[in-house]
Amino acid sequence: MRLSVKVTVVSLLSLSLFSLLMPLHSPDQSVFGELSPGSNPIKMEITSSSSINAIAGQIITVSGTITNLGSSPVGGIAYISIIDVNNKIPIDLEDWSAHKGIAIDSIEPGQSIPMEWNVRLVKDGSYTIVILFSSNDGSMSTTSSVKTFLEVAPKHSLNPGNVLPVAFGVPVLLMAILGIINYSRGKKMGIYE
Amino acid sequence: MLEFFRREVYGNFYSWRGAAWLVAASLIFSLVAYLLMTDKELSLLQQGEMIYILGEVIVALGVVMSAASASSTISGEMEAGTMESILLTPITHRQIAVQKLLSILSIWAIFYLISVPYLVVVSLGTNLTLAAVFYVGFFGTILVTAISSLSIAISAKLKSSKSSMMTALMTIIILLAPTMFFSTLFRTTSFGIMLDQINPVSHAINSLDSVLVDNQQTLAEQFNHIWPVIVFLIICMSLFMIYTKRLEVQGTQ
Repeated sequence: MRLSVKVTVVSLLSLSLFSLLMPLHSPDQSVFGELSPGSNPIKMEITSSSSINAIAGQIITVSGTITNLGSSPVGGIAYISIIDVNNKIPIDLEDWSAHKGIAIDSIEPGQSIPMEWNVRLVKDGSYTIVILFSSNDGSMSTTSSVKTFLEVAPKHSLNPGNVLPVAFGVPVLLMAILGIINYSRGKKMGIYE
Repeated sequence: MLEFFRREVYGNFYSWRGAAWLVAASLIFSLVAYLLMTDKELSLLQQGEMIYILGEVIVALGVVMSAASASSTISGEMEAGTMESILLTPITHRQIAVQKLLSILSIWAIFYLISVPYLVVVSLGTNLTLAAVFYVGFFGTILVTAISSLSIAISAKLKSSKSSMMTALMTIIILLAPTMFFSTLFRTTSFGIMLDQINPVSHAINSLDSVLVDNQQTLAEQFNHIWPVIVFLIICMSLFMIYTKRLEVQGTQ
């Protein structure tokens, strides 16, 4: 009898202690939203497809958002980076994207800003795309999004059909016209009599 | 009244030597257009960039051709000994020079007409055809007029075909260098930006870039590029008016 009372009391005490400690470890939003000191308050996210298949020469749009999860405004530059997986090197975006970086003067706490990059696929291959954010004051580390995988197939469908008639036709037509003009003039002057 | 103009035009088009310019230009356009559309790597370029490259080639060739033709117009007549008889005709010296300028512009007009089919075929399927034809014609005409009048002024001043041709071609190389020969990296430096700001040919080429690659097609959007080119035309025309007021034969002995 005394044993069952003891077990009941211990069980009740354990239950009370568990219910007291429970809020500290639960994934409650109010607790989850607060950042530990030194953590990065910026979240970068690619909102377009996480896997892209395209053909060389096409232009794709990479969309993303930047969100400030911190408690103070942050300014900086959001930019795109593309890595050539086969050669294990970052590619020079000179020919790939006209606007590599987007300057963000200030992003307020809780604010989320959508961004877009138009990327021309210059060369076939396998690539990964990430978008990054670097703050102006350097107070936080560079934030990166999750990778998007990009497969660029080579372009085989070259189209000489449109240009060939003009490329060959215009010089031939021009020489014919000039020849006729010259011949008719020569005939008038008696050169070809 | 337009006797010299007629004579110059006949000289340009009735001789194979004069017509060779036009045939050579059409062959160059054919080669550029064919490479842009069929070369494995060049055909990956955005279509706007292809039209821009072709437009750049058309304007550059037009400028070089007009400078080469115009730089010996006055001095050539002096060296051939025909200037005296021309000066005896009852028209002013400036009218003679203006008619020579018009004959060079007539070559540019034919040259431009030849380039139109190429611009159309490279821009097929885009909304850039009219803009490409208009802006290449617009900037080409202003630059060719300016360079031709400057070359005629140099020819009248130096009275030597060799010297005036060298001076005109050097001027052309200096004007074309920033856009055609300098790297993109150099052009982003403060010195490169300064050169682009003061160079009318750079303004014309940059405007074509803005219209055809960035799709900013209105005249208002291109005003910042248009006015320096027009100022250059006014300066060249002023020099033309000054140096062709009185054409003197002495000094060519």
